[in-house]
Amino acid sequence: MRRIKAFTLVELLITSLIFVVVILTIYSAFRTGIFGYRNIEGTINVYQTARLILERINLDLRNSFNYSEDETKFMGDENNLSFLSLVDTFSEDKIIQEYAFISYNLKGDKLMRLCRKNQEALNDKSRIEPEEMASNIEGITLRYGHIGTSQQQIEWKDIWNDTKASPIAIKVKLTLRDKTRREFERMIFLPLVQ
Amino acid sequence: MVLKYNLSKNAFSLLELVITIAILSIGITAVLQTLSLSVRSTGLSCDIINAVFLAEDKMQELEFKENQNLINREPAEVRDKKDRFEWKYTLNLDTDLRLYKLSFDITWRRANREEKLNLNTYLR
Repeated sequence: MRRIKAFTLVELLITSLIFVVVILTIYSAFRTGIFGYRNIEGTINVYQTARLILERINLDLRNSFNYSEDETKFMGDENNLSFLSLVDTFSEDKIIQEYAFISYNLKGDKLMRLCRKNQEALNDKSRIEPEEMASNIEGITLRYGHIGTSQQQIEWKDIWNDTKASPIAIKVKLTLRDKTRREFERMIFLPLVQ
Repeated sequence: MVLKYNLSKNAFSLLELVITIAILSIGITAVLQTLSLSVRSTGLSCDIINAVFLAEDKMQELEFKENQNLINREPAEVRDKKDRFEWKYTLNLDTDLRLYKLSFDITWRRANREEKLNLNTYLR
């Protein structure tokens, strides 16, 4: 009988077994990697949204001013906030600052920002609609700081309804959810109203 | 000389096999390393964002105190902490500028390593 040169069944079986083991190892390694990446993507999204919201609120509040000496137009409660501020606008390659009425509202899990510029600022019947800033918001809690009776410590209130004075600082606590749940807290001081 | 075993036996030698497996495992670990590195650096960047938020808050507070003339201008080191973050700041008079230099340091531990962030500003 002539001997044919070929793989035997046992050889083939062993080869495919080793092949399967190697492929499985590589697959599981990649799977863990991709799983980790997806997890991190959620975290990155949450941080990105938090930064966008907090930087925007920070910028608006840092530029906020009082309407007149006996009226501030600053109103706020636990989830809502409205005040007068300066916003940057592009006009013919230049950045100009315009006064505007800014309002933040929580609608379900969406944070809405209303910005009425110039003549529209004090027009409550204006048809300018609030814009959605971000979704997946679990909660936003605002607290308003004023100088207490002891003159040294800042005291915090849940609702600001004093029309004659603005708070000196605002604590923003933001809770976001997207696969993971994160809490962010910032304390913003209002330098222009003092 | 080199071709001798190749001609004599038509099979892989142990040495060849060992080298192949070594190269393969180095390749796989390199890919895994990059994945874990990206995970770690993302975590670090999230920590830095939190640290900068904290530093900015504290600086705004000091700026407010400066406005209200409540700030203690004696050269001193103030230390405090919040969650995992520890911070300290020093206030020193810069005689050339006639301004107070505020040096702000935040430290925190991440995966058994000390991370540090330094921010500076001037106060009147």
